[in-house]
Amino acid sequence: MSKALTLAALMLLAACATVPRGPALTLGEAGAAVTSTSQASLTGLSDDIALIAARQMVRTAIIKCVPGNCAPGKVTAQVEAGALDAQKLSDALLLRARALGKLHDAYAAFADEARYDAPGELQGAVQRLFTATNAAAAAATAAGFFPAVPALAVAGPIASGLAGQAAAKAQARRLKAGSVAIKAANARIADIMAAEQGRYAEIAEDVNNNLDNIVATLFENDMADPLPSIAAFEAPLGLKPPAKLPPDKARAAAMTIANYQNWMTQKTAGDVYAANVAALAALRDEHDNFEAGAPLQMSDVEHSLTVLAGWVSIARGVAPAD
Amino acid sequence: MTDTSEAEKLQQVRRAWRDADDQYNADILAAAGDPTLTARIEANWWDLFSLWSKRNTAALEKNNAAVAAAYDAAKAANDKVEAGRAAAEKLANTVAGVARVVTALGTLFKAVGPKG
Repeated sequence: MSKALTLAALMLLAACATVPRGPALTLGEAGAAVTSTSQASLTGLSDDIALIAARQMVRTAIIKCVPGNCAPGKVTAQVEAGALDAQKLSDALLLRARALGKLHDAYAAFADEARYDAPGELQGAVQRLFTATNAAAAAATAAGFFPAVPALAVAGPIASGLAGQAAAKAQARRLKAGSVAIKAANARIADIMAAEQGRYAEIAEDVNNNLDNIVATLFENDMADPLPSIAAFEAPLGLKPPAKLPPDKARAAAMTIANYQNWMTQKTAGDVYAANVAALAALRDEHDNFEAGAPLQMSDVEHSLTVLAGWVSIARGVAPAD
Repeated sequence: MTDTSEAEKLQQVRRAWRDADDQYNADILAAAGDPTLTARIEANWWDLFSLWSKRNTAALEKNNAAVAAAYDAAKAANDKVEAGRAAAEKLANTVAGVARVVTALGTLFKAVGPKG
């Protein structure tokens, strides 16, 4: 009788105890990936701006250097002012990257919560407590401290099941509340990025134009080895350049590769930030699905993330991660 | 000053800095041997670069309060999720801790109870 009651109670509890941990984990991990990539697009731009002054000093020292008259560049008042002004712009972009970083933290915490088996942990702990209590009571009775007490074998599974059920409900509630809070933060950041994406794109275009001039200066003055960029260019063709290249041709090839890369980067600067905004919007749609208990689609998020990662890799001049 | 005129001025500054940057190497080389002209070319580049930075910073700073609010919202969301998870873990750990105490008590009873 008591076993049947226990079984019935456990079946009822099992039927009630559902936590959408799988969808939450998917949403949390996708959110962390999108925000991490978006953050990288702004952090990279911020870093480049902070380096412009130093690069310009080196560029100037190289161009002004003639045989017998090569002086290292010095930080003048004007250089210092320029560097400080650039730092302020770099910081403004970093502020935005930090907001994205904090949103990334929230998505990562959400994924952690989804990974945590709250009902299982609590249920197991309560069951272990009852088992230990049974054993202690039996030992106390055997030692003559207490009269024999009824075993808690029946109460144990029911209590642990109830605890698990309560934990499941609490976790489901926490995940939903977390989703609502993260979605609101996502919307705030996306609104700002949508309003500013044109500005980011123009800044990136100008910075990349300057980078192109720096790279050209280095190649033209034999200050950079053209071999790595030629090797990277030839690798997808299944080719490898010889260790010793004809200098003029190698320089021309490396500068052409750099020019193309720069053209591509400037051309696609706007796409990077538009992809950021689209990816954040796709995530919000999935929050809506999650909160409504509907299945997550994820195809839009995955597509947006792929596009975003692609643009960022072009903008940063690196191959997209697998 | 309207937003439109600010936007136009920003575009002018962008073009000016880019032109100066594109021409910089050629201009410095052409001015070789003329320190005054070289200094003027360098100063012009830095002036335009400063202006470019300032105009862009000003355009972004308008939204800095909104960015700070977005950061706070993201932090609040993060704290909320982390606190909920920590409370759940603490509850399970507390129960597990009590179970360990009771187990130890059982062991004690066994130790002091009748032997054999």
